[in-house]
Amino acid sequence: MKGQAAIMDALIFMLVASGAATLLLFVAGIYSSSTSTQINTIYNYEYGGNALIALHYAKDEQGRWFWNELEGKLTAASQADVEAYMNGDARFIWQNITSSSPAGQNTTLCFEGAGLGATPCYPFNRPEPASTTVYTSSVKITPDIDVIIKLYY
Amino acid sequence: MRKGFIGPIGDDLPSIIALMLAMGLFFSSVIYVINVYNQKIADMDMLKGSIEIGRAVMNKGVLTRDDLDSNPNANYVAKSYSLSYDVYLESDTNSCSMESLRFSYLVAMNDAGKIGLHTMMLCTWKG
Repeated sequence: MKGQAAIMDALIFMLVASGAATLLLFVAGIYSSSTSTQINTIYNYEYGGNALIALHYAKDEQGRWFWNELEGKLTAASQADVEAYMNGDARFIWQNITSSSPAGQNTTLCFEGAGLGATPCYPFNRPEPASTTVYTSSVKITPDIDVIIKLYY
Repeated sequence: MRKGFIGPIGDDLPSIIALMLAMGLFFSSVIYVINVYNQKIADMDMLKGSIEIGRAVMNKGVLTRDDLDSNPNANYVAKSYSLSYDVYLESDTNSCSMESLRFSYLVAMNDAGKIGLHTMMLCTWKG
């Protein structure tokens, strides 16, 4: 009977040790995942902020300042004019944005406070991506108009 | 000699085997977890250092070729994280090595007085 008790004690010890080992493996699995996500978030915000800064210096194919042209079209013209401009003289600017963006084609430029209605986003005809994570950075190009870059994941 | 008695250790042999197995399992998982922990810390440091190198490179707003070729602030950050890095424009023929981390940025470049938009790639690796 004494031998059976010793075996039982050893099996209980084995159970406790297995539980502790499982807990360690579980913690090791999730450790740092939230920190890595936060660092990726920082990168996405930095990308957005830097992209908007770079766009301050962007000129379209006719050599006109991108923000100035966009501002004029957003306040005075229709959505179709903005789209025509983005698909025309500012096409390569948009291509630069999507090729450099970590979100690739799931990047949009939204205009808030413009005379175009409720925060339209270029590309206008594309439905908003069904993403759970969206990173946004914004810049004021006039006191009334904000341009927002959105990265969808 | 008693019937079935196989010595003072023999009687405890089954429980000793179970104890050894339990301790082996526990300590091997501790060693594994320490290795995983160190690897994850190193990966996080690399990621954090890469972002800071990118921040140092982008600090000027409008970049020049000289900023891409040599940037003292970025060199300092890279050294403090024990990282090596390379920055180039996507239009260049360079490419990152397979094991490096890659980050892209939209940058304004002053190329001989003409400012244009470019995609800048930042590659970082250990060492």
